[in-house]
Amino acid sequence: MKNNILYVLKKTWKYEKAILGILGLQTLVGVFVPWISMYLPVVVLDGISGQITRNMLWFGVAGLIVLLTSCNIVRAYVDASYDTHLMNNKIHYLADLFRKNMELDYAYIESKEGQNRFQYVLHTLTNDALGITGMLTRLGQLWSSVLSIVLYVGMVAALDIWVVTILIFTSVIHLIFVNLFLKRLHHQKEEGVDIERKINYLFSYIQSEKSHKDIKLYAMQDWLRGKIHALIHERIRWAQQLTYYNVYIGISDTVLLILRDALAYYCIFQGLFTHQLGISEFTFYFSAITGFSAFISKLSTSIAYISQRSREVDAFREYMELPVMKGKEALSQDHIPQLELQHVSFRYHEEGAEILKDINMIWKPREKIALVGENGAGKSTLVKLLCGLYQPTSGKILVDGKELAPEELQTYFAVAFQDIHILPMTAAENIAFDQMPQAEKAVQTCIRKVGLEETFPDVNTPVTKLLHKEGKVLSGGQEQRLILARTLYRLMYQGATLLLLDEPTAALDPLAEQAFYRQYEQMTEDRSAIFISHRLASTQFCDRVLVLKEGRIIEEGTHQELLAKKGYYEEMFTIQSQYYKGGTV
Amino acid sequence: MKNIVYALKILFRITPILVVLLVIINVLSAGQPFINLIFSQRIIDSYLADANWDTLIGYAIWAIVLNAGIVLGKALLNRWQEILFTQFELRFEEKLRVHQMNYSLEDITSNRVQEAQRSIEQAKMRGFQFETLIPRIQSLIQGFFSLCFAFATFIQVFSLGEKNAVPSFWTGPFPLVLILTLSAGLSIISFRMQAKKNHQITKLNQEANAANGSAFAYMQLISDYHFGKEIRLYGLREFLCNAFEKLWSSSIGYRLMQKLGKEKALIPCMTALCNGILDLCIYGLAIMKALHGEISTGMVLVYISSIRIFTQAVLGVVNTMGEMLGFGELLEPYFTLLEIPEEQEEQEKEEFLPQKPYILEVQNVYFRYPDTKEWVLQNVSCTFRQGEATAVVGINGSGKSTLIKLLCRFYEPQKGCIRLNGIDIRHIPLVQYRRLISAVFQDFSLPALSMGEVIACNAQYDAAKVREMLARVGLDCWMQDKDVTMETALYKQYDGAGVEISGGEGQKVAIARALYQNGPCMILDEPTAALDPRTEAEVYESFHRITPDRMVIFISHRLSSCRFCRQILVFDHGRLIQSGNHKALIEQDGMYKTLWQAQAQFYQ
Repeated sequence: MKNNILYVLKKTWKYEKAILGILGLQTLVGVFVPWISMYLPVVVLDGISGQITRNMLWFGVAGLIVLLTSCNIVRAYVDASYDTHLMNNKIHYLADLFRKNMELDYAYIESKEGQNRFQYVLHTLTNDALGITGMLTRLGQLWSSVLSIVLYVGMVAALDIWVVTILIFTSVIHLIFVNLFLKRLHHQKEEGVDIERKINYLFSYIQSEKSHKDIKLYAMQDWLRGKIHALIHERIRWAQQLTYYNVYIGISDTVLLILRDALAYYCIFQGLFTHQLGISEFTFYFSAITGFSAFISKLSTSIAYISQRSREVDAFREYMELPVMKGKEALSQDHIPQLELQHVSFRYHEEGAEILKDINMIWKPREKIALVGENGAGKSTLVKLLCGLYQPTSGKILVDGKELAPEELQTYFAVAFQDIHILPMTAAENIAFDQMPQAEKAVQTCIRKVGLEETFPDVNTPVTKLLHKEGKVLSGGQEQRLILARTLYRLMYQGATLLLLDEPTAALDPLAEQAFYRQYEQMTEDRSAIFISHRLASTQFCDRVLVLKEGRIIEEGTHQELLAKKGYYEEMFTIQSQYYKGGTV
Repeated sequence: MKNIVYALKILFRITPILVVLLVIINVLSAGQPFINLIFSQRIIDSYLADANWDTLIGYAIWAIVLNAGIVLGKALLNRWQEILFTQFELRFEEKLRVHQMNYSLEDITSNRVQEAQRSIEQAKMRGFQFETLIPRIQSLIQGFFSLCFAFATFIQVFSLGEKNAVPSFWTGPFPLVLILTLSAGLSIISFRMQAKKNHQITKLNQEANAANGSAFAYMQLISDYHFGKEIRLYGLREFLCNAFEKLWSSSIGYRLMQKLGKEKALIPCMTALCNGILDLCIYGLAIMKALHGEISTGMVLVYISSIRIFTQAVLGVVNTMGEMLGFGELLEPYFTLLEIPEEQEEQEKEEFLPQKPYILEVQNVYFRYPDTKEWVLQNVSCTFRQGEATAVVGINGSGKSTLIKLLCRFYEPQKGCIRLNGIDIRHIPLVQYRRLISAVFQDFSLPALSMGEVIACNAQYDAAKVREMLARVGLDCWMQDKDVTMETALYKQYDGAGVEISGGEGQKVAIARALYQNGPCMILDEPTAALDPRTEAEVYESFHRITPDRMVIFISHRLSSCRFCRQILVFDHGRLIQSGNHKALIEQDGMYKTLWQAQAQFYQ
């Protein structure tokens, strides 16, 4: 835990120094205020009973109150402005997390483990009560508790060493108890995390815009509501189990309180009766001893809280230390490489099934390949391997005869995947990203080529309503064209020479599809391309067809060759084309 | 203010015991400091009056017992309170979400609802939720009872005052009344200031939330792992992260937060100052009274403490109330959502149960989406008959999907009507009508629950029937290969042991679901977009086989589906421009022919 505190402090020094100042102030105030509050009654009583002069009384009381008030004002101000600084700090950590996430191996972040970890760390960073922000909110309290305890021990030791010893002893026992209970609590908590996740998933599912139509049409309401209800019931039962620990801690607290207070009274009465103590000292030491227990209890809750946060910080640090790939090299300008796969196999993890088995293929420069096959045959996986998002489990991928680092391989590619991601920025930024504003002319050319000039007369129009209220909401077809423009830009202006298209016409109507194929011929004139599609019409535009089935390449050749073979491809093509030929179906 | 009252009503309705518990716990908390106070006074005064050991011990034991009792009592009650708190949290959330689930489609896609949902999510990240109200209520209750106890204490002290005091300005009630008046005055000023501040703060909060909300929504987008492909391939890392940081530190979000911090600090600082001033007065008064012999030494501390507790409680209560007024505005999105009505739920009526054979007639329908000016459908008239398959074609944006939404009664046409067997479908109870339709939407969604349940849309399902449907869409082999059963969950969000399914597999499951539900009207919107040729043919086969008993409506860009449809409807810019069967339409020189040839040319 100490390590994590130091880590957080060091980073805070880098990101938001003001926080350290605030923590310091919080600690000081946290120590001073109770201390001053303890002295006030002493001064008052001494003054009244004549132990000190009137002047000293007035000065003392006024002075202490002024000091107290100033401390409180400082604390109020600091606490109120803490939020802002914590937020700034949070953003830096989030940016760090995203950067890291974008550097990691794609196969990892796609995997269940990668996703879970990322979501967990993200959750602890964004929530103010968790993770680093949570820790920072209570650190001040932790330190002031520790310092106060040291102070009080000193003061009470002046009264009676035994009192101090017993106080410390009982407090340590209490802390040990609390720790023990909290460990068991934490263990039990993990079981409930699963239920929470399920509840949260269902909550967001029933509220989401996307699921509405299906929920209504299929009258899923009662079914889903029943599930939620049952889960909540379980969750409450689990909460009931957890809270038992609080009762145990409460009982421990009570026992210690009785011991402590009894001890305190005994010692102080002794002092009173043996005239070692005056009345004001009675008040003082009594406050000290009972205040001591308040600090112990504050300390134990702070420690409990911060140790939980510390675990979350652990998760963050571990994530940040995951191994990454090296940095990117500059884009290779206009060189068209030859790609070769030698005995490439791939599985997602060791116990998983082999998705691709012993793939051998050569992709010559300027060759246009069509990749076809059933769902689940492995087409998308093959494509991700080709462009360097996955690493082969065995076998090699050679670029012009050499093995390249994945990031280098990626620089050759311009890819359009099936899942469409439109950024909440301008259309131009969606196409050329950070090359804007210089690339405006180029962007306009691309927009024209995909037929979006009517939709975007001004390429600097924002898209989606996420960040801009006036953002344009695009239809499925328009989105697909925007993605195409993005790919086009990369091909034409960023020197990518390998084009990869995964079902680019899925959402296009026949006319738009036709226009696309024309476009495609132009786009790929001086490039290599791989085209995945279920619409076998697309194979017409390709030099070669690769047929994938259950992870293997089973047929290879031109469209005509494969038709003549009368194998799997021919069967597929016939099934699909039968509707388009004359005669009955 | 009315929001707070409303919130309290909700709290009381869902977990009434919680309210009672809160009161009891806070009474105990409020009373706790007074125990030590009063017993210290008794001890001091007894000692000074030369009491013996036993008396003092007696007091000490009482103090310890009472304190221990309160601590233990609080621990037990707190445990109960925590459970109820969790219960409230969850049940309220359930209520809110289920309510939203039942909105009409029009409402759930409206800006109003989207904004309210977003405000709530953002506030959650800052630690504010509906139940954050409860700790504030606790402070209020505790403050109120502190007030009462304190008042009772110093009135008692006062009445126990020594009669043989030296009369002066300081003795008697007058100075105390002065202080109390001062305290009241400061509270009023503080309250006024807070009310003004609240408004400013809420406005700033909303603006900050809007700016932050964008940053966080953007953040969700770029942390989506699917997008990770493009991020790597296009080298977007620096671009996106810099945009993220800029989004935050740009004018609005950052500066607003700074301003917000300073505004929020004002009231607490003022409160601290007021307390300080009052402290000076109180201490001064108590000392003078003691010096004039009006109160005993032991009483001095009690006097000081009780008045201090009183004045602090007053200010505290006033501040909390002021804060809660501010809360009222933060609670607004919750009430916005709760006030929007659910889709009407009517009782099923016997007389509206349409009989076979079904005929669905669309008569002169005009439709445009709410808050838009352009007509999406204009003067559309067509008929769907049981036993017929109809294909609906047209280029993107011609209104096809919208027609489907009208047929499903997600929206109502502005002009014209849709009739089922002659009855206007608006007159048929919604749930009865929808049972007649099974659809696979273009953007279908499958909950991440078990396969059997998802297909049956219910916790109980007919396993044999499910198996049959899965076979019809060709998923049985896939399931065997992947060792998937009907109990396996889809995707991994709900059940970590679920199976990840691709787009094509998902489409098959959605089709299986439609087949299982078996409505007499089957609507398929791009059902085979992600399917390979063989599966596509199987799906067409499936539907062809069931057509005799139903009406089947296909929307597809793959005109192959038109070949076996009795009727083809061609849409263009919201109008129905051609209808007929394939043979008839192919001979007309219209849109259909153009579309057909555009696609067929590649298959010759």
